[in-house]
Amino acid sequence: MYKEIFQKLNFFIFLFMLIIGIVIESTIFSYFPISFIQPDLFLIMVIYLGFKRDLFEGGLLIILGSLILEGHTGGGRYFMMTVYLYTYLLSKMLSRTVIDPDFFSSIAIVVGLTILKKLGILVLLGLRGKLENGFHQFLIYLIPGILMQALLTPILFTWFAKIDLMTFKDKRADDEYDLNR
Amino acid sequence: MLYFKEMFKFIHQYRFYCTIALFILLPILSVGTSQKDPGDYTILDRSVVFFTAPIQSAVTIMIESGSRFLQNYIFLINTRKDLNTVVEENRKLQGVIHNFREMEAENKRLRALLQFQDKIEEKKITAQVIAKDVNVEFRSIRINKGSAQGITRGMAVVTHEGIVGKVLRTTEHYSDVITILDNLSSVDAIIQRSRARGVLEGATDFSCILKYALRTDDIEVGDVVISSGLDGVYPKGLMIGVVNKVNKKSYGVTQDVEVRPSVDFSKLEETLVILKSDPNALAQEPVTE
Repeated sequence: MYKEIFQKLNFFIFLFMLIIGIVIESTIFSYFPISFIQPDLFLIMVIYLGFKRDLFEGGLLIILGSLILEGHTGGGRYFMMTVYLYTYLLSKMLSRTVIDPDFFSSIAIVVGLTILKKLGILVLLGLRGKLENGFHQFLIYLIPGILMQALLTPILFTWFAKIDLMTFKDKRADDEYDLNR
Repeated sequence: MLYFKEMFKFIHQYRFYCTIALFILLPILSVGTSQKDPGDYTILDRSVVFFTAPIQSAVTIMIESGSRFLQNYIFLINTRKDLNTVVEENRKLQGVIHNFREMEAENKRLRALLQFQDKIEEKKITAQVIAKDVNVEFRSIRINKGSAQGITRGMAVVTHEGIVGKVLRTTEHYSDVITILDNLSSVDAIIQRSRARGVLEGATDFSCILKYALRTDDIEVGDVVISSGLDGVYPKGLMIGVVNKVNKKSYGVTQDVEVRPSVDFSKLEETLVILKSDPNALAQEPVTE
């Protein structure tokens, strides 16, 4: 019974972590010059969920997370949901090839999908006729953004895996914890 | 009934592909329908902002207090204070000089034709910046005043240095402001010296682009850019920035003009929201020859 409660809690823990991430990104990382290395914590979470959740559960979490995120950005309604949901689907496709990403493959996947996500935003800006404006920003933030994402990926992937283990989302948790003991 | 039963059976059988189709189509449909109007906060947004905004406010206050403590008490106590005073005075004087220039230009053009008010008196409210955009691709800010203080969507937000942006959406005690640096922002602007017109759009954290300025227009580096008041948001004559770069090609209809905003967005802490903005106040005055 406890196991099921913990498993259900996992969904809300990830949502709570997203809100904490939003607060950190919009306050601490808003100051110059730290703003240049502002990470996209939700993107790392999205990619992790692509590998560790089934299609529907992960998708639902991302739709809800994106809608929360949209309340904290001037990007416009459903802008973020589009970008993150497609990134999630790409991550899901990659999970068919790389089943359990290790240190280097996780960094490579996050870096690759970060570039694709930024290009996705450019495409959406292009649809609004603002491609030229967005391209300047894309070039300025590309390299610092990628470096920061690469640095944080192993740390966050380890944290997420630990949370999955503690909430019995990971099947290996049965070997680690025995609630009947 | 049998039809629904068959349909559910089909969806259950191909649930994986149905979910993928849903996830692919959902963003396309939702983005398509949201293009016409960016919309205000939803119930979900309001409930989340209700929890996150006070935390953002508290974190910002903590960071600012911490940084002030370090700046004032650890590093160069007196020098820092003096420098702050001089910089503040310099900014005020720049604002005064700019006002004089603008008044002079207006006088030259309209003295013979119009009797107009020197200043548009509008009610303003001060608001503190508590957070910035979560995404590096966009540059909106959150202020600690909302609809309870009379702020509504579309109101102009300024500082003594110039235009900051306009209110995008509001909750009871907080508002999101889309700054002039944002890619999706646009301000109808004119060059103070030559009266050349264009639309100012955000580009990077430090610059904007003045679009649709004709190639034949007289625009030079160092020219002051001000609001035209024609967009219905910003009062006429507010400082926007200074022309930083002009790229005039030998062909084409327009020229590329880069503008450096007069507001230092990296140090933006307090703003003024113009509660009653009437950009046509001058135009409505009776014309007397």
